Amino acid sequence: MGEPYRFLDAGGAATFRALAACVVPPQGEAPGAAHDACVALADRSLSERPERDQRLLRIFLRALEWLPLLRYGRRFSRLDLARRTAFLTLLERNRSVGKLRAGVFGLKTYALLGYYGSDLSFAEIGYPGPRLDAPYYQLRRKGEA
Amino acid sequence: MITTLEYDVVIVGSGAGGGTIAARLSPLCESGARIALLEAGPHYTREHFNTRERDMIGLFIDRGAMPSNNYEIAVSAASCVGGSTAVYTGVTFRAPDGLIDGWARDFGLDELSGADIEARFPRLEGEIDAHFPGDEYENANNRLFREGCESLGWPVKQFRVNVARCERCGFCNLGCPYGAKRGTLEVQVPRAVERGVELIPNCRVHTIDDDGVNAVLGDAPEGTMASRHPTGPLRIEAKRIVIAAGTLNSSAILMRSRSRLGDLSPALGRYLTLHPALTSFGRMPEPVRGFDGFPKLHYTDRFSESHHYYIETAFYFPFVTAKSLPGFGSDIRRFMGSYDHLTCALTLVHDEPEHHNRMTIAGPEGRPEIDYRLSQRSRDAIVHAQQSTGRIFFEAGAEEYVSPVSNRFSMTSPADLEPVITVGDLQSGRVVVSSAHPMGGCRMGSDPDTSVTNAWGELHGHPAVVVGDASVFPTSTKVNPYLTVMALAERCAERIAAGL
Repeated sequence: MGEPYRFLDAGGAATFRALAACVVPPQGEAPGAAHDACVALADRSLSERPERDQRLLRIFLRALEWLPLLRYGRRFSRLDLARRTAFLTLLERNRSVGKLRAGVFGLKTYALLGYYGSDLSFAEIGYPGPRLDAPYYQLRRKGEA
Repeated sequence: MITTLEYDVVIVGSGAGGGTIAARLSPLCESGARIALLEAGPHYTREHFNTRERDMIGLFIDRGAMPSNNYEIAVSAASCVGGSTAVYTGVTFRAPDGLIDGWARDFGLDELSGADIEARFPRLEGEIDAHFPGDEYENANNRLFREGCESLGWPVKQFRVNVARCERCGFCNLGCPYGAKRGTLEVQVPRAVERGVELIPNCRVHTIDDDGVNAVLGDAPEGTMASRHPTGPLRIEAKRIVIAAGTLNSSAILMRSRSRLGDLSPALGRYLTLHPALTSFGRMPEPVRGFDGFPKLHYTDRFSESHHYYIETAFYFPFVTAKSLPGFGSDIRRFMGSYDHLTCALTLVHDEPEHHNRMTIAGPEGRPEIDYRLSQRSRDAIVHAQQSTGRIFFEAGAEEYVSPVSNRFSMTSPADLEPVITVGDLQSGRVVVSSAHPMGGCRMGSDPDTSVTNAWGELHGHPAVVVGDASVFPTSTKVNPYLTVMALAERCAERIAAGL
């Protein structure tokens, strides 16, 4: 059991995880953005946003969970991946409500941070990761020695 | 309990403006002048920069970027000692020919001259080791950009960069772990402190008046330098007050201080310019490894006069790259799977100052907010620039091109560019344009109804208060602004020194 979330409540976590799986779905053995470690990283970063942004993102998470009832008769987190992705695309491309587009962008951004900001993705994308010869790491190795 | 301190000069902000003013005034400490340099953020040093993207976004205001109220644009600026010079790439531009004289002519700034500012540039460049780097700085991403432009017959120019003993590790935007980037964190602030200026990090200024500033001193993050003063509310009395908190904060500090300073110019906060920017990507058949080596070396000004933008080389880390991609799911995963085969470039738009584009404050604590709308000219420029970048990458051999402004995930031929990248696809919220060059809000001018400060950065009606950062720019510079900030800040310091 990891640390409790700081930004996401139980309902918000289910919605965010369902969204994250659409942003970076699992691929074979490789995890996606809904992986526990990725959601935890996204949650920590969301909790550090200014209060106003957190409030808006919480409202958007709730709206995202319930809006699909009108179209599919089911909540967002209970839709299959294809329908969730179609619904997100619909919101992202709507031409009348900018706040819905911004909400999708905001949560998508944190799902991407969770996955591509995490070491989990580095081997898959050919990225060597941080410079372990940087003074930051040298000092810590000295401290441990 | 409020702690009260007294200085001759208090400088708010340690970036290109505040750091330069602190260094220039610091010799006065020998003759007994007391100078404080306040910084809202912590004093991270090179030993704190771990080159890990997810951690280093903590160097930036709001841990990433501050979005405009309409979500059209998000502005990045650092909150740490050194300000944004701690996280920029070191690209060093002189103000374009005629810009400063144009400001003097158009805004009644008789005491400002282009010749004076231009005469300062060579010395300032020497001080921060700004130079044209050698061929060894050209990594594959920069080479492909140059070859693409050359093949199209477009001019390719090189940036000056201010680095010394650079390891070319490519992590400039996450804080230089080797101290090679010669921003104020490495050059001016240490020099000022050595000569007797007192650096007070974690000190957030809320309001000012003609006699001092009201601030709150916070805890220093673990392992960073703490101030010798107790945490909590601070009143700092000073004869001269320099506001150099960056465009996102300088206007806000003055707006929160309206009741203490009396009537301030109705232009306060207005005429904000941002250099709207957007990245796009080409996928090459061979590995590029743009994350290895110096990230920014070349630019083309082919469309600067006709369409108002530059295209610059750039390369970003995995998260920032991914967040610039449109759509969801397998497309993102597949394209990011080729991260080490990607080329990347940045569109930089020359926006014009407009009255409705402004910094403002909101909420009981008066937090800064950005009211900014992209003009039709800027929108057209972004679209044209995204198409032009695609032409460069296809010319260089790209198999696929991805732009955030598009009605499908990617393009595979130059013929796709115009039908797929359209102004209609540049929707606020879906495409969030970025900015790293906020300017204006306290513009210089002779008329207090249309400007906030005079040619020396002094607040109209309050000569003890000086604004010393990019917020005094009456228009955008078209180019990376910090050398111009330094030159203007140096003038401010000379004026302050003469009056002490």
